[in-house]
Amino acid sequence: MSAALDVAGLRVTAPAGVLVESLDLRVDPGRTLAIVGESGSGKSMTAKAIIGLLPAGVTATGTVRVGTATVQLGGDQRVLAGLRGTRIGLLLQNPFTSLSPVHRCGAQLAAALPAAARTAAEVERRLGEVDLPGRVARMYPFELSGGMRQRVALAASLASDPDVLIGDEPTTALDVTTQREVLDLLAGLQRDRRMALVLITHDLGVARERADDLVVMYAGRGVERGAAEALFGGPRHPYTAALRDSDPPLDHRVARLPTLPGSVPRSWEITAGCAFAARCARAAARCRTDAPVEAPAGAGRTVSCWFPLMEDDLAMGSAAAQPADEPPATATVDGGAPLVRVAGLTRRFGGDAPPALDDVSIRIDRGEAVGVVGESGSGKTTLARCLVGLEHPDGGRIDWSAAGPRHRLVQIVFQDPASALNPAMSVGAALGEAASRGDGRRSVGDLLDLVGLPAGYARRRPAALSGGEQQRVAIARALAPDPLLLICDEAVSSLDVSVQAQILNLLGDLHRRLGLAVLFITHDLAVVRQVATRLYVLRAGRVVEDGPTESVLGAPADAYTRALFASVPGGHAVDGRGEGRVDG
Amino acid sequence: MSALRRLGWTPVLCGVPLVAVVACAALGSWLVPDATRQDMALGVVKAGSAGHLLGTDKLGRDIFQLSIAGARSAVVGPVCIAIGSMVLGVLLGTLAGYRGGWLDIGLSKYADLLLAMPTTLVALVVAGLVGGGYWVTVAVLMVLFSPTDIRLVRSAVMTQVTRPYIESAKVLGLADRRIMFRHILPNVAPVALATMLLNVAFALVGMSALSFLGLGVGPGEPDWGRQLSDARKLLVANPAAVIAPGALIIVTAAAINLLGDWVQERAERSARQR
Ligand SMILES: Nc1ncnc2c1ncn2[C@@H]1O[C@H](COP(=O)(O)OP(=O)(O)OP(=O)(O)O)[C@@H](O)[C@H]1O
Ligand code: SF4
Ligand SMILES: [Mg+2]
Repeated sequence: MSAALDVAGLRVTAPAGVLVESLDLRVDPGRTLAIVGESGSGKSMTAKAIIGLLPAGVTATGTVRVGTATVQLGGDQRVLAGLRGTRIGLLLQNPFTSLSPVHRCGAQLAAALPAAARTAAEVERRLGEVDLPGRVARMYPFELSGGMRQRVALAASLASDPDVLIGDEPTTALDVTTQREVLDLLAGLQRDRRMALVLITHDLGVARERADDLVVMYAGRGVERGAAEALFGGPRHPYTAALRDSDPPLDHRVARLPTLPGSVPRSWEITAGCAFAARCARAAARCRTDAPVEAPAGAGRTVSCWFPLMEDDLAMGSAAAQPADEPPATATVDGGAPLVRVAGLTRRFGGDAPPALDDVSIRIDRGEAVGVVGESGSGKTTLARCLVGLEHPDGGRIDWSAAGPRHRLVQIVFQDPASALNPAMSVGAALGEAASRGDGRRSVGDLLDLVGLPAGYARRRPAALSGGEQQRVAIARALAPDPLLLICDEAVSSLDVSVQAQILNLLGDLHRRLGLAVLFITHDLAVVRQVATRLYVLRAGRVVEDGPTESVLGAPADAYTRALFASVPGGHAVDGRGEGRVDG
Repeated sequence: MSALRRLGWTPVLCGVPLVAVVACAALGSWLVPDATRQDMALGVVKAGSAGHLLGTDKLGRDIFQLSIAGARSAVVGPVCIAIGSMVLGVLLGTLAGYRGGWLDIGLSKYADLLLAMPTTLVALVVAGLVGGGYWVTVAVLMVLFSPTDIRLVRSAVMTQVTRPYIESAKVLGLADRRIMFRHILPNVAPVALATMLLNVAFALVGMSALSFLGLGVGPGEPDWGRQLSDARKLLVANPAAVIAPGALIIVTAAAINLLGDWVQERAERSARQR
């Protein structure tokens, strides 16, 4: 069978140096290839090079073959431009960047259709294909929910009936339930059209559940490739294993998530030896001098490592992530007196829309870690915003047992690290300003130290930080006034698993060391299991279930909790260690 | 070379004429001290004759010198208008976008009202009431230009206020003034600057039109719009007397416009990348 997409010897070069080094990819019609790796490993650059949308100053060489057409990259870009949008489609993470805010969805979809097919009926048919009603054609993107927007973007990228679809984090911005719907939709369309899918994701659960084959990228290089199930079941490359282990398991709690120290190096900084050597526990002298060559490692698998992991190593490796028997430590101060009591909280937006919060009552004790789970639109964020005073409830009470201005009681960390910091303000200025809101005990240096960043970062602008570093700064800023409660609203949802593990461990440490109460809001049940002692399950603005985390997740009483549980991608034996998924 | 590659030709092509105009505005009285000297005996002569590169007008004034001297009023007024209206725009637009509510409604109504005013007519009426003059015209245009700036700043501010970093600043309990001027303003400044440039071009055309109607500078003062209106009847006697100021207005306005578009595009792109 000839491949739908065959990329050979891809090399992407920016003015600073090489971003992607001799990468080969191959996907057959109807199959799914996932590219995984941490942020900055070159996943998006690979996608952009294949589709010919590299930013100015960045160039690519190599061969891209789509069906029978072969394009030599670096040559005539028009050939690639011709393939783009006809044979290859692209779907991005944030539909806001691919959809124009000022044009109606129908017009945008029509513009992507072949000239002969630009009819209202065709637009409606295409919308139907992605399970959207025809009226969406007359709506603007901002009038749609995140999931609907991504469906419109999907319809547009499928408009020319491509043979290959490249999805760069296509569902990362969506909540689990919507994510599942969009992924199912994609799978269905893929089956009907025998379309090949290249799925770029940092979510290992998604990769595991949806991909046939997997390429693990690190610092612009493919380090391990093969069938997805085999790679997850028994990774050979230490990096694959580390990634897998830092993904929090859904079915049990671990005392401390294994993390990868440091971050992905710039690919051009690697002059000799293995790109992963600086972070690899197995690195030996040879690793620092000679670059490992790609070697076969069993059926259809290759690995680029001098000392690949073997079966017995794997058994040992996972010892690091032994299940913790005891629940998360609660740094109880004042004998667990309630810090805040929320009673009968109600908030409605607009006339006849169902209320965002409907008679919600919760309690958070001093020093306690509490989780709130629920899908998007269930009212999680509204609850958080009411607690910090960004939103005013229509009814109900919020009673704090401690005195003081609100900003000394509670602070919040949001989901998107990129917009959490003022782009025009240095890290030091932002932290200094926040510290001045406390009693002046904390200096900028202390705060950076608290979240594990070097003091030199004070001079940096947010744009010069990675997502994980930005989120650390956001946490430091929230801790600056010494609040009693820290609210984390999806604070790790947009981070790489490796960074997510670091931030989760950091939050756990801060919680224990500072006696900080934490309200953890998330749609990710595996994450909440790691951090929260008690759990509230929210649905359509109501608390449908609450109790100790282990009992709620161990035996969900409510049908909705069970449904939420089933939506988690790769929810069965997420880490390949625990067996048996919890069925209520 | 690499700077040119990165920035493109636009800033160079627009920058050259603009630098020349600004230099003339700054050094005009030194370069051409006698620009307004009349020579009634000579009267109007065609371009190239009697040492007059672009000829003279009917008062015998040298068109070339007059055009150089006219750069001052072409630069000073429009720049003041653009800055003044943007200061109004930033103050009121930030308040409206950040505070919302009745303040926003009130300011929007005020902006609508000003937008509905016919510029020339208002300038005529004000000139009739308080007497004409260059600075009266500048003040009138400043106020009349402000509503578009208010709207622009307001919508730029509104895209910022819902961002998490502003919400975090609110949760930290920072004063509104600090949030507006320390946090929001630096992030809308690029767009405001670009618009200011565009406004200079509009103001130049507007001022020239009013001078043409006799509302701008006093009689006899060097000014491109005034020159145009004075030379209307000389189209045959010395075409250069009309073409020179006209071309200057067009080239200057177009260069500012292109540069403004270029800055705006970059500002928007960098705002998107954030
Ligand atoms: N326009 C650019 N010019 C030069 N280098 C760039 C540019 N854009 C990104 N890079 C660099 O290229 C490398 C790979 O980036 P890329 O966006 O492909 O990573 P990624 O794997 O997609 O990460 P993420 O998971 O965060 O999306 C990084 O070191 C990044 O800093
Ligand atoms: S080659 Fe060496 S450093 Fe690189 S992954 Fe293998 S063991 Fe680690
Ligand atoms: Mg990416």
